Amino acid sequence: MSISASAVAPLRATATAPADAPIIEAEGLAKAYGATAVFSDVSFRLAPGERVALIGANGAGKTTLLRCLIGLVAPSAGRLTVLGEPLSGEGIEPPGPAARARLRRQAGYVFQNHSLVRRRSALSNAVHGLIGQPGGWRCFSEMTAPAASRAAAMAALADVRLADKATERVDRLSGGQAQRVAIARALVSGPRLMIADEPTASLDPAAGREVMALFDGLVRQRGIALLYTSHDMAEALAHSDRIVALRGGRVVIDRASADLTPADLGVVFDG
Amino acid sequence: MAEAPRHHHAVPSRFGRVPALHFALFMGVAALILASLGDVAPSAGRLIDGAPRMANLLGRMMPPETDPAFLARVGLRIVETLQIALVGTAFGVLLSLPIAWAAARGVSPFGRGGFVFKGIVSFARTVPDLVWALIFVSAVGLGAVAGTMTITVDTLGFCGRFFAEAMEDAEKAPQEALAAAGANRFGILAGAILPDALPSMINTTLFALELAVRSSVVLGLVGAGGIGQELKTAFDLFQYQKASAIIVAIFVIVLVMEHVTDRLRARIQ
Repeated sequence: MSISASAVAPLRATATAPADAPIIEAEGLAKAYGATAVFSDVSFRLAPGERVALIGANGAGKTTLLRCLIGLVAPSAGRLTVLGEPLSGEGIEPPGPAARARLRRQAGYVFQNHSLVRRRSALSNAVHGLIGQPGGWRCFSEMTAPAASRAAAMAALADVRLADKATERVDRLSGGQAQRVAIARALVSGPRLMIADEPTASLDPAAGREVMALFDGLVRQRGIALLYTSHDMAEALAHSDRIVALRGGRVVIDRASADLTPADLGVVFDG
Repeated sequence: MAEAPRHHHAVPSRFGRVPALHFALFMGVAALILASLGDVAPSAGRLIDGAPRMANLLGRMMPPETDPAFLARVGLRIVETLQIALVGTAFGVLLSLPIAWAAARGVSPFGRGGFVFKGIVSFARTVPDLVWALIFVSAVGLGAVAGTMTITVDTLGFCGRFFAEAMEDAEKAPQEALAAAGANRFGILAGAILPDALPSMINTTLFALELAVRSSVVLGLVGAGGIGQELKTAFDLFQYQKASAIIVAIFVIVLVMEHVTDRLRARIQ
């Protein structure tokens, strides 16, 4: 089964920042645990509707960097603004619960290995994506969620072509289907930013292509900015406008994908 | 050709060296058991002396009482026993849920303050149920209400601990995913922790119910309602045939409860 861009519904998000403002602005960003640096001096920007692939070997700091972007991890130094919310910088206090909630309402995060609640249905998991929205406290289960939230979750499942699996427990779905439920969960709130941590790493090539085609459709149809990590150079080149490469915790490449070849990217994984 | 030299390695001892402290502790415990044997263990002489009295008692218990009026009263007491167990367990489980949440490490909204709630659960668990029953009989008087309160506290001690452990062991990745979606602590609890911990918590609840039935049977001995009260009266009045009928009834309800909970547990696995 393939997912066409036409399967994606119109944008449901309500933008709160100027339309042309950068979605992510990172300057000199660093993260260290004690004396161990995870990454340092990382600078990059993400524009609305842009697809950026973040590549790097294992341990390069990609996942930690993504977690910093939605306030799951606090950076140690540098300036970071995401969706208009200053998260780090000189004289900036670490974001409180209200700022984090504002940020997370506008961002969808697809975790590696989907991180779904395995004993719950696809619909319940999709409804979870609305739990941080105003009045969304009932969205811990599809049984308690308001009717409008259930309808939005069904629409998100339809967007990823899984409406017919809505009542199925997610631990009975295939890996590709589970990852699409995770995308529906990230999509249901109509985010302006989609962050995906190795979204195809646990999938077979066909399921991986489906997921990437779905992301392409979201960017094209809804203007969502996409930042994802990948180990697959061919995938990164085919499904991004720009590639940011980390090596040893530092940015070594930040260029348009069209100007890069697999040989250019090979240096990131060498030695 | 010269024979290659053979390396002789010593075969390791079957038992590693026992540290002196471990040996001293072992000897100390062994000495304590031996010293206690003389004071509290039944001696062969006492067992032989007691055998005819035991045989006499068993003889007086047979056949169990079958008077319909008496059996009807026992039936009512059994219903009351089950009511004490069921209502006490239900209250105990309801109380355990928020207290376990507050006590669970890494989950508690009180952070390190969770140890206070762990302390409450430990206190409820370590005080024996008959002691709780005596306290509640003094507080609210003789009868089933004291029994229900006892089972509630007993269940809190049992379920509070195991519910908290189940919450601590719940899968972390979905919790993080809900946090990333903007969920607060309650949202993470209801959306990710409870669904993952639920099978374990239902299992614990069934064990608690089984324990509650056993406990509620003996609570009557101290006046906290249920079939135990009838048993105590029968023994006090030397009505051994009635006592044996009650013991058979207790055996049946405990057995039935074990069977039912075993079946339910098997379905949950």
